[in-house]
Amino acid sequence: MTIKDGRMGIRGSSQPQMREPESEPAIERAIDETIRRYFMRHEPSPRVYARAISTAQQPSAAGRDGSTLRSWIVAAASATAALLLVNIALHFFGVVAARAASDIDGRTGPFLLWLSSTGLARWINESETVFGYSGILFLHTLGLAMAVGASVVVDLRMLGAASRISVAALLPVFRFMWIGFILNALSGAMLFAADAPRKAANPLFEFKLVLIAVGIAVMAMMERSLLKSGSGAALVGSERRLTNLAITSLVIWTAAIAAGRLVAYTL
Amino acid sequence: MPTKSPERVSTPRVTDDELVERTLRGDSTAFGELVFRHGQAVYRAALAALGSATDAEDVMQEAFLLAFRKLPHFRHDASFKTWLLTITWRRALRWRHSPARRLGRLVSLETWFSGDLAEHRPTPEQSAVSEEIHRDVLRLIRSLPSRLRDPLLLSASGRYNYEELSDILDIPTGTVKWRVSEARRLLRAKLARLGHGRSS
Repeated sequence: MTIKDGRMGIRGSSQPQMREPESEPAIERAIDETIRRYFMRHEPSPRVYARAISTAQQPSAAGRDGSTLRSWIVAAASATAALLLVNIALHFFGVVAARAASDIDGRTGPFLLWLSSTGLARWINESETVFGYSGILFLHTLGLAMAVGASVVVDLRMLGAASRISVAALLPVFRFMWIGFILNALSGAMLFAADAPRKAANPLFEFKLVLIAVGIAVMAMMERSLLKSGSGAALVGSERRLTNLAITSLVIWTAAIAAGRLVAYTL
Repeated sequence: MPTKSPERVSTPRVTDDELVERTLRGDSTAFGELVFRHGQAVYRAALAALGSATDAEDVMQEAFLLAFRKLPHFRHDASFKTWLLTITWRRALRWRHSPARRLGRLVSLETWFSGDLAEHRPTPEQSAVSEEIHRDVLRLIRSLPSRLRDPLLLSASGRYNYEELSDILDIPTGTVKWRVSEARRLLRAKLARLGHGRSS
């Protein structure tokens, strides 16, 4: 060593433009100090102690201890179920859809025929203004973006993204989800009315509706869990459940969007 | 969810084993005292394993929950603190390796110690040179393999001796010492290449 007593600057004095190397003891101290400073900066708050005590001593605590394995079994099961459903739907589509176009009249009930012949359905199909089919399709896409976009924000937060944002701060996002869903449902109903017999004959469309129903149920369960946690967002014992729901939600919405696009290209 | 601090009734002279016995007899304040006594050690172990304050809090909570449930099976083979830290470490490792956390960190682009770097505010008395070293040390610690980083962080946290680390990490004491030494040697060498000090 060329530098004694951890003092710096001797070696570098003849080269003022270069950084002066520190001595080995100084480096050792820097390592220790850096780690010590890191641990000092992060200390558990009294709230964390209180939560640890109260959670452990609650009678129902034992049943709420989730495991990663269980979490991923649920996620894998959800993904597998979604893929199987897509596969089954595609298989049925291959068999049924080929006959659907020529067999619509024979398969269509009076309600669907009446629905597609209403003034609203005719206006949607025949209107040449931007408020017709294209306008309603725009609203449908807007509703989808609001509902699924907000849902993905919550899902990613549950999976650890933007962890500095309080979970309680996400509760207002659910309002946008529901507004988006209502907008989507209304515009979707109008688009369905415009082409009811053909859409009803498409198994992929039914599959998409099932996925949406599951997605909405998952969304409602997440909102309920967050509401139950209170304004302090103390998600004690429910983190794993919310992680499962978030993964399921991502899988379901992805499959629903894929099915929706396939419906558009297979009619 | 109650958030007020629980009442502390026991004195420091009461041993952990006595508190465990009192907890098993239904004394709820005794378990609270155990949480207060070992909370920081548990939290630091989780923080060393995960590098995230949020995750460390979750693991701390889970560890105490699990300890409370398993307390009737505590056989006093080791001290309560070692037993508790072993539970904590296993929970932290399980969470560290869980696909859910990997996915979460991927989407959050969060890296080990990233929060510390982002929050870093040097005080006026801290020189620019030393701040640069601290920043480089943090970055280099992050790049160490976990088998070296874990013992280094735990040993430098000031809460555990080598024997406790040996039990927590489930490796011989000599191996713990070697890994700490090797981690420091690697850090020194890398820091030397960055112009800090000289490689030995």
